[in-house]
Formats: sequence, C-alpha cells, structure tokens
Amino acid sequence: MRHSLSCLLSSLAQSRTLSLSLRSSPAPPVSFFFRSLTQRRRQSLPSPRLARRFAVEIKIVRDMGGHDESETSGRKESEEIDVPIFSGENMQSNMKVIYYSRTFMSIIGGVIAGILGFTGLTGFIFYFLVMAITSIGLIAKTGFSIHSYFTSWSQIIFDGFLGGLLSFVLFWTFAYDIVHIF
Amino acid sequence: MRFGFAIGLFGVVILSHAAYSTVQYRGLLKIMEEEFSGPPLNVVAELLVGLVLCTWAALTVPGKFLSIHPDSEENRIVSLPDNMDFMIFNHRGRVLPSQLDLKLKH
Repeated sequence: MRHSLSCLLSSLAQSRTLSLSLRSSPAPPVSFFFRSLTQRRRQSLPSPRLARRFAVEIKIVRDMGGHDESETSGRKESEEIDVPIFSGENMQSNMKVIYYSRTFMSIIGGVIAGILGFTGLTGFIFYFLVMAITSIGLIAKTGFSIHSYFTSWSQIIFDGFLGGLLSFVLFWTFAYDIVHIF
Repeated sequence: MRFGFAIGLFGVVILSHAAYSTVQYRGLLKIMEEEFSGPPLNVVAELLVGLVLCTWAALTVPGKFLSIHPDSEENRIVSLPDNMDFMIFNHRGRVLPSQLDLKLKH
C-alpha cells in the first residue's frame, strides 16, 4: 500500500498534471500505464489540425505491466505497434470509383452478351473477359502505381466481381429476351 | 466529366441501334426460315465500337483516384476554417518550430 502511494506521488511529480486523484489508489501496473500514456500523448501529436484529418487505423499498445516500479534508465516503458497511416476518406472514394466502374461495365457487358445471342457457359466466359478488360483499364487509370492509391492488389482486381455478376446475368437475360424472343 | 457522360450516352445509343438492327435481322431470318447463328458483321463491329466507348466512359466518369498516403503532394494542403473570428494565434504554439513548406487552401 505504501509502495503504491509512493509511486503515485512520483508519477504526479513527473507528469506535472493533476490527472490522478489521491483518494483512489489503483494497482501499480495501472498507474504506470496512465503515466506512460500521458507522456506519450504529449510527444506524438505535433500538429492536432493535421493529425485530425487522417484516421489512424490501428494503434496497439502493449504494456509490460508486470515489471518492477523503479524506472531504470535503459528500459522501454511499453511497446507500440504502428501500422502505416492512410487517409480513410480517400480510400473510400477510390473503392466507390471502382464499384461504379465495374457495375456499369457489367451492365454493358450483359447487354452485349444478350444481343450477340450467347447462351450458357459462353456468356460467363464473356463476363470474365469484360471484367478483365475493366481491371486492365482501372490499373491503367492509376498509372500502374497501385500502392499510392490502394493498400493491396486484391482490392483493385477482385472487388466488385460477384455483385457485377448478378447485374450481368440480369441484363443478359433482359437483352436476350428483347432481341431474340419478342 | 460532362464529356465522358456524353461519350457514355453515345455508346448506349450505338448499342441500342445494334439491338434494333439485330431484331430486324432476326425478322428477316424468320421470313427466309434460316437459323440464327450470329448477328451480321456490321452489327458486331457496331457492338465493339459501343463497348470501347462505354469502357472509356466507365473509367472516366466516376471520378479520379485520390492518393491515400498522407505525405503525397496533393494531401499536404492545410485548410483554415471559414469562420476566422474566433481564431487566436497568441498561444503556446508559437514557440513550437513551424513547418514552412505547407501549402494553404482557403
């Protein structure tokens, strides 16, 4: 009890803010965690206006809480794992662009497959051909530098695939009925 | 973007014209009592042109790709809020080192 009180007082002296009340005495790892959190927060946000614009995706803090309270010089307080920061709204806007492009192309592909009179497997092969053309077009639109616009390859190649397939089949049967049956 | 939209509309018009001529071709085949094996070559060419135009429209109309790195050129713009009445500059932040290469956007 006395040990935890003394570490609390030392943490108050070091942090220069009265954020912990003296009435409650938390367990030693918890107060240690609070002190390291306030110290780290002060150094890691140089400009709050800039930092607010970008969403930090994951910031995992692992606390080495089982150690001794005395702070030796060469010891790390806690480990941080940072993933690279991306602009969230730009990522969403890019995914929307891909979605619109693929949906429109699958509709157009369905109409063309219906006009040409494809039935059965040939139509699905035509769909994959149209999706491949769309993927090549999208990759060419990024200027072949995918990593400055997306986080991985699979996003730009496989994203709207199955949803586009349903639109394709709908417009394929629609156009086939109009042109060949009625 | 208007131009891309017009190109897409033109591609759709070409596709519907190809569909109409295929309908007429089938009517002709019914009269001559032959099998439908495929639309005539000019219809196929028309469909290819329509596909190319619609592909171009599908890639340009939805918008540009925006860079997701926070330190690329277009993302480094600092914007001030519109209401400047309550912004003060005589605070503790003036002793921090300032970045001189930030671009300002109003």
